[in-house]
Amino acid sequence: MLWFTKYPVENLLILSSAVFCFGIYTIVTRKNAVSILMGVELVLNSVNLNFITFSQFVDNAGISGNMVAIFVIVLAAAEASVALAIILGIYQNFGRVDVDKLTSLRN
Amino acid sequence: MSLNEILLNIIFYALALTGLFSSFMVATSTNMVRTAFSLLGVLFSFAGLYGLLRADFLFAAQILVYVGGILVLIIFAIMLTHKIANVNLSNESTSSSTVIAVVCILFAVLVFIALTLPEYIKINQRNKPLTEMIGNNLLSDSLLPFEILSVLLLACLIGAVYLARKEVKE
Repeated sequence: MLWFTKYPVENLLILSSAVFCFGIYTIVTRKNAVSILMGVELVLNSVNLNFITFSQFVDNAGISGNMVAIFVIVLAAAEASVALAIILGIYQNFGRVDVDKLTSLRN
Repeated sequence: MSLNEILLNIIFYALALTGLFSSFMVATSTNMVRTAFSLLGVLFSFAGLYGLLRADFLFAAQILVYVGGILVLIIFAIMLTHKIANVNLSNESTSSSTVIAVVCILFAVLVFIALTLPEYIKINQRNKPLTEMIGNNLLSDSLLPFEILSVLLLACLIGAVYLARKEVKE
């Protein structure tokens, strides 16, 4: 059996790739812009888990994986705030946020 | 297996199943609010995994920034982009067999890569607490990215306020 205590890296990598695939599926299939943003958050989280796994388990890796994960979290916060501001602006102009219905740039 | 290992296994698989089920709900649920709260489950289970990996600073940052900041922003956005009186918070998706096939192939490739790790990677879990090393690193090696990031956050703040304000009609 692939127990976690025996093969920790493999288990974590499989978990993060599953979450990554769910995130990609969300980004591709959703119509609502806020849902697409949630898919992006899933992808960013799974990548973060990979960075931290390698940083914590590989010998002589230093803490650069942890630093990258911190920067990814901060960038995700910035990206979320700007994306939500854009979505609110779209909602004020068009009254909807379905990305397949937004075919004109301004009204 | 010792008792310690059994306990670690149980904690890991509980967290992993929570994360998997919640992300599945994020990908497939048809109710917008339910999707947002499933995302909460994913973020909490990932925070628990960081704690299990002894990445103490990331554990705190994940809960503070993701759960306390980003998720609240997303729920705000859901509430602001649907009319409150309109209870129908639908969340359409265009699922097709092509997308599912492509995603399954992607998952298979990723699992194959994960199971064939190169031999020279020595697995040895870190035991020391990390916060002190991260603080030292932020002010020595990664000082420049840190400062650039602070400028970027300021720019984002101004940009978000500019984009989200109401236009004054004259």
